[in-house]
Amino acid sequence: MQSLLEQRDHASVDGIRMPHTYTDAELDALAALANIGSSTATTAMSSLLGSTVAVSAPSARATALTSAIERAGPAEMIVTTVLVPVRGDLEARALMVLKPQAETAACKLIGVEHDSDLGRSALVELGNILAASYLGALSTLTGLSLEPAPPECVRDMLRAALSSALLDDDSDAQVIALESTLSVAVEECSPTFLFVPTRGGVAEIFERLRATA
Amino acid sequence: MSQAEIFVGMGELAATAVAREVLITVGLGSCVGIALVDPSGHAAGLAHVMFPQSRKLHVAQPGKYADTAVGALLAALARLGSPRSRICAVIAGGARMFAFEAAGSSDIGAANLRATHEALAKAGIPVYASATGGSTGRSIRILAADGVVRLRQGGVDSELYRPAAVVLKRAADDS
Repeated sequence: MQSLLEQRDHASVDGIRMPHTYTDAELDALAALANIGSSTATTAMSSLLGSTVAVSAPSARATALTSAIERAGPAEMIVTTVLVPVRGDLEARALMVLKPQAETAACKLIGVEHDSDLGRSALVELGNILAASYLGALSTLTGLSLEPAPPECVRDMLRAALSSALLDDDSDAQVIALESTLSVAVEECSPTFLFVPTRGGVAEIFERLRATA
Repeated sequence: MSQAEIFVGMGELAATAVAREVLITVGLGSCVGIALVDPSGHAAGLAHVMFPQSRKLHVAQPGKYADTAVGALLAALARLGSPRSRICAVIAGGARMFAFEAAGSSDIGAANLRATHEALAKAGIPVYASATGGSTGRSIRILAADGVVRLRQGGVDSELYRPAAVVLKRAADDS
């Protein structure tokens, strides 16, 4: 499955902050976090859906947010996005993105009609469970307190949803995006899960990793 | 006449006086699409702004900020022979798709709209049509030939703005 935020580059186009370059070792450490976070989320999703769920290619990328959003897929594709804003020791956004086919499949597995209020709240709950288990794992590993805010669900154009969820107040210079795709064995149901720290959140993670290393 | 589509990416802008060209920007959420239209000159410009204000003196990418995009679009249209007096604006976007507010930041869509209206007022450009605010994503497209602006929102295509017939007739008479 194609990655949602595919690109990795170090150059900031018009950054307000100085562009920051991350070492491969740092990115590897973050990818390991993404791996553990999404494995935990997978277990939760598996018991919710009653089906085997696998994680494919969890990754950590340093990327210019704008180009990452532009490359995420067809800009006008209608996707279901569940956003869980994260506060606490760091600020971040956790996102579950479902393409149309995955949305239908997920609802079918849960046993609700996909274009209904019930279907929508089931997807919100799915996103919420994924985020909560992912954040729980990250929190345990890093010792950071990560508090999920109530989840929000939007069904709209991919680019509009991603940019509204991820663009911050003043800078889109460069972010670290942790991405993983969860694949359910029996159906074409592959939600993409993104964890994007904002406002210096990544520095906070590194600090904790160093402290615990 | 086959149309040629020009896609304006996030933070970018473009202007054209080629009649068969269509300027398009897609997936506006909190971002604002600023279309400047000169129907009688068969010219149009479009920016996809992401943020309200630039904080630097020299901005490498003027299309990214509402305050710099308007000036840059007007300059581009002037080079194509469109005086300010013939130009009107059509804007779309500035939605608030998610209700959450990050600490210390306000509604970015509303801030983008405010800055856009301010920049247009300062330049003396009237806003003739708009589809802004709310919580839905939008796309807009402008055909340079007639200055008609089309909107896509919630899976529905509609006409957002059509220049008055008299303006287009005058243009036809002139050419």
